[in-house]
Order: sequence, then C-alpha cells, then structure tokens
Amino acid sequence: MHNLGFDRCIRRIQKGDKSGLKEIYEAYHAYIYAIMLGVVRNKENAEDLTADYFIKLWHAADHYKSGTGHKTWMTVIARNMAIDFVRKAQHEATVADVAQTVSSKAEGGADTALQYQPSAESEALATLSFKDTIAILPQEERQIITMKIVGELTFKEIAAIMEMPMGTVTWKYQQSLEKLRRADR
Amino acid sequence: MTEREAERLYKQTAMAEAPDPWNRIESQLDEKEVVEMKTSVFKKIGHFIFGGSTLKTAVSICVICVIGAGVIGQASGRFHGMGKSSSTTMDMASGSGMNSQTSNSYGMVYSNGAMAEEAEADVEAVDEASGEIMEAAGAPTTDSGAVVNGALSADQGTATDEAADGSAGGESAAGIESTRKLIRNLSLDVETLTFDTFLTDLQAQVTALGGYVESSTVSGNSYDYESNRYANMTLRIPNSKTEELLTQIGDEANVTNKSESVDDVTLTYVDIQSHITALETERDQLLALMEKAESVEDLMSIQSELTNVRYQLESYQSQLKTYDNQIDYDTISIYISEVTKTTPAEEPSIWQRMSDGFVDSIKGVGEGIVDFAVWFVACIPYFVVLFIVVFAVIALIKKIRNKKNRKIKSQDE
Repeated sequence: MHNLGFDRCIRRIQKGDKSGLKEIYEAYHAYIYAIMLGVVRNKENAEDLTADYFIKLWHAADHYKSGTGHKTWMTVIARNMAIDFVRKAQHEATVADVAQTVSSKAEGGADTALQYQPSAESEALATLSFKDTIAILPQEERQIITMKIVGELTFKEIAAIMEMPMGTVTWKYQQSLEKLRRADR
Repeated sequence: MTEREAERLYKQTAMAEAPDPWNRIESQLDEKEVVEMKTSVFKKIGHFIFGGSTLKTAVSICVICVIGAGVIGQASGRFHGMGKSSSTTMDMASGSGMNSQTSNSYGMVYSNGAMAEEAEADVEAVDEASGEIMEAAGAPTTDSGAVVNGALSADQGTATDEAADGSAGGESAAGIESTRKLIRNLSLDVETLTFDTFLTDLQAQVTALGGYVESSTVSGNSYDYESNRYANMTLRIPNSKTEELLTQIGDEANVTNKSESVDDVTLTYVDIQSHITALETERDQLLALMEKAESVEDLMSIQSELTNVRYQLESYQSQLKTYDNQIDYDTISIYISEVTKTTPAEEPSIWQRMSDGFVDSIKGVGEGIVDFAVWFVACIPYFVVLFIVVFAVIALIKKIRNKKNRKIKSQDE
C-alpha cells in the first residue's frame, strides 16, 4: 500500500469508517503478526497482540501525521507493543514460553548468536525445516528479516527502527538469510 | 536454495502463518463520535496553518491580516462617505423649498444665539467701523420714528399681526422697511469645489459691498476624510446689498439650504424712541429748572435727577444704536463645505444615476487602491512588529506541540 492510499484509509478511520481499517488490516495484518511473533515467539500472544494492535490503530489514527512513512510508523508501534508485552510478561513471569524467550534475550544478542556458531550451524540447519529455522532465528535477526522481506522496508528505515547501525542491520540480514537458504524446504 | 528463493519462501510462510482475527477486532471497535469528525476537520485546518514551515505560515497570517485590515479600513471609509452623501441629501430635502420662513433650524438658532451674545460686544466696534453710517442712521431714525409712531397709533393691531406672521420675504420686507424696523437673519448652506478661492472671493465681495465678516471658522482637512474642509462665517451686510451678495454666492457655489428669519422690532424700537423723547424733554426741563434754582439744595436735587435722566437717556440711545446696526445690516450665517462633487439640484434619471454610480465606483476603486498603497507603506513598521509577533507565537506553539509529542512517544515506548 502506498502512502497516499494509507492516508486515505486513515482519514476514513478518523471519520469512523471501519472499511478504512479493514483495508489496512488486509494489507498488513500478516506483517504485523510476523513482527509480533518475532518478538514474543508465541503464536497465541502474537495473535492477541495483532488484534490489539489494530484496535489501537483505530484509536491512534488521529495521531498519525501524514507524509512520515506509514510503514515505519506502523512497525514502531507494533514493535513497541510487543516489547512492552515481553517486559510485562518477564516481570509477572506468568507465561512460561515468554519467560524463556525473554531470558534468552536477556543473555544478549551475542549470546544468542553463540547458539548459531558457524561450525555447528551448518550441521544443525541441514536437519531443520524452513519453519523450524525461522523459529530458532534470533529475535533481532527475525525482526530485521521480517521488516525487510514482508514489510519491504529499506535498510535505513530498519536501522532507524532497531536503533542500530545500518552495517549491523545488513550483516544480520545476510546472516539470517544464509541460515534460511541452508534450511531444508 | 538461492537467496531470492529463501526470501520468497520466507514471505510465503509469514503470510500463510498469519491468523485472521478480524472478526475479533471488529467486534471490539467502538463507534467514533461525530465530534471526532469535526475535530479532524479542525485538525486539518490546524495542520494547514501550522503544519507548514514557520516562516511561510507567519507570512501567510500577516498577509491575511494586512489584507483584512486594509479591506475593513477601506470599507469603513466607503461607509463614511455614504453617510456623508445621505446627510447632504437630507439637507437638500429640508431646503428643497428654499424656505424663507422663520425656521428653527440649527443654523438659525446658532445665528440668533451668536447675535445675542455678540451684539453688545460688537456695538462699539461697529460704531468705529461705520461711524458715518451710524450718524446717517441716527438722523432718519427720528423721522421714521415719528412716522411709525403715527402709524402705530392709527393701526397698532394690524401692525402686530403682520409682525407675528414672521414670514415676510426679502421683497415684502424691503417694501415695508421704511415704516417697519426689521432685523433680518439669513442662513445658508453652500457647497463649493474651490474652497479657498470661494472664501477669498466671498470676503472680497463682502468688503466691496460695505459689509464685514463678524466671525469666521475654517475646520476639517483631516487625514481620514477625503475633502472635508468646511467653514462657518457670520457676515454683516447692508440690507440693501444683501440680495446682490446672495446672487453672487449662488453664482459661485451650490446652495443646498437657505433659511431666513425676520424679527420685527418696530414696537420695541418706537418704545425706546418714545422713552428717549420723554427723557430729552425731561432733561431740557431739568436744565431750565437748574437755571432758575435759588438754593443749593434745589440745585443738588436737580443735578441728581439730571444725572439719572442722562444715564437712562444714554442707555436707551445705546439700545437704539444696536437696533439700528441690526436693522441696517443683515446677518448672514453661511456654512461652506468643500466637496468633490456638488449635489444635483434635480432628481437625476435612472440612467444618469446608473452612469454616475458606475463612474463613482471606478473613481472609488482607483482612490481606494491609492489610499491602500499609501496606508500599506505608512504601516510597514507595524507589519514588521506583527510579523515578529506572529512568527514567535507560531514557533512557540510548534515547540510546545513537539515537546508534547515527544512526551507521548516516550510514554508509548
């Protein structure tokens, strides 16, 4: 969806027209779900967050400022929602799989990367399916590859959202793509 | 698997895995209120005004303010002009008959009031200015007084009725002037295109006719008005020359209103003359008695009475001189206004009114443009201040708004 089409949908939402939200939903719900899933690593929670996201979009449409790049705006909101959810889950420690995800995240990106040492990686990935490979991708890599492939954002936009240098973004993207490329179809 | 295939497969997987919770979402969407629609309209306006660059917005607002102020100022000027023309029309309506009745118009009241206040003060000055005339008037006064006295004793009632009419025109007044003592006051409203020339000519004519200017006031010429100088003059003209002066004024200016009042003072005049005659007789008798007085007491008593009689005599003579001056010199109060176009004497035709209105509008537009240009250049310092204030306000609003947005964003994060 182009910016102009998105602006029109937002104006319809501002007027209380649900079809505007429906149009945005159809264009982006898979992308938003992928972003959510990349952070929370749980399908049910990701689905709940996706639903909450579009409800929030319904109310937040008034705050949207046209001409700022709607994909970046949507991605930032989605990512913030997912991160908030993970933080709350970590604090309350009520959801086991979220806690695991957070604990693995707490160890840091470098530690996460250690799970995929090149020496062990080739061996392990060769036996994993494509979906399993996606599932075990580190959180940051999965977000970057989702933003790039599904969201069709530029590396510059992704770097701004992730708040990391563009070189790091491209490197992580290439790394995750290499892992997917080696996975079994 | 190539990179491109991996990308395509990743996208397909992500799209396929995504659930479809739309029904759940839709069920939780509450209806937006109409107020929000209105708010969004105002937000659009706000974004239009404040969404652009601060400089452009400030310039736009200043331009709107300047044009608005100019248009309002111009419009008010037009309205003022319209008010003026309607006032002139009213004058025309009231003076359409060129009435010569004893009217109670403003001009007449002013004229009478001025006469009452200034008469005594001016008597001596008039005496000096026209000593010869006063002497000449003094002689016939006695004669005419005798005639009038006889006439009054014969038919005093009729004379009173005629005096009470008070509507004697210039011609009729002239006809009975020999027997009646009439004080004639005139009030004129005139329009002139050549204000200065007319004033100069008028004063020259008054002097040439043997009259004088009793008072003169020239006012107006304000910046806010187009050509609104006006003058109030009180002229004193020998009554035999009044019609000549009126004719000359009518030739040089457009007379929009003329009113005239005639005050018959015959009774008072004759009464004063009788008093004077009686007092003179008494004085002569006292002088004769004084010559015959034998004792000092008689002499003192006669002297005291004689002083009293002389005092009364001089007082009556003074009153008589004042009346003589007022009778011999007509008082003309003239209101002269400067106009760019004289009021037509006749009601113009529809076509004439249309063409006049069109020409006036073209002229008004031209004058309006010139006035606006002058006003604009003159007010540039104010515009600079306005621009600085507007610029500062917009910059402040934007700063506050951005700060608020950053706060909301940080709270979201």
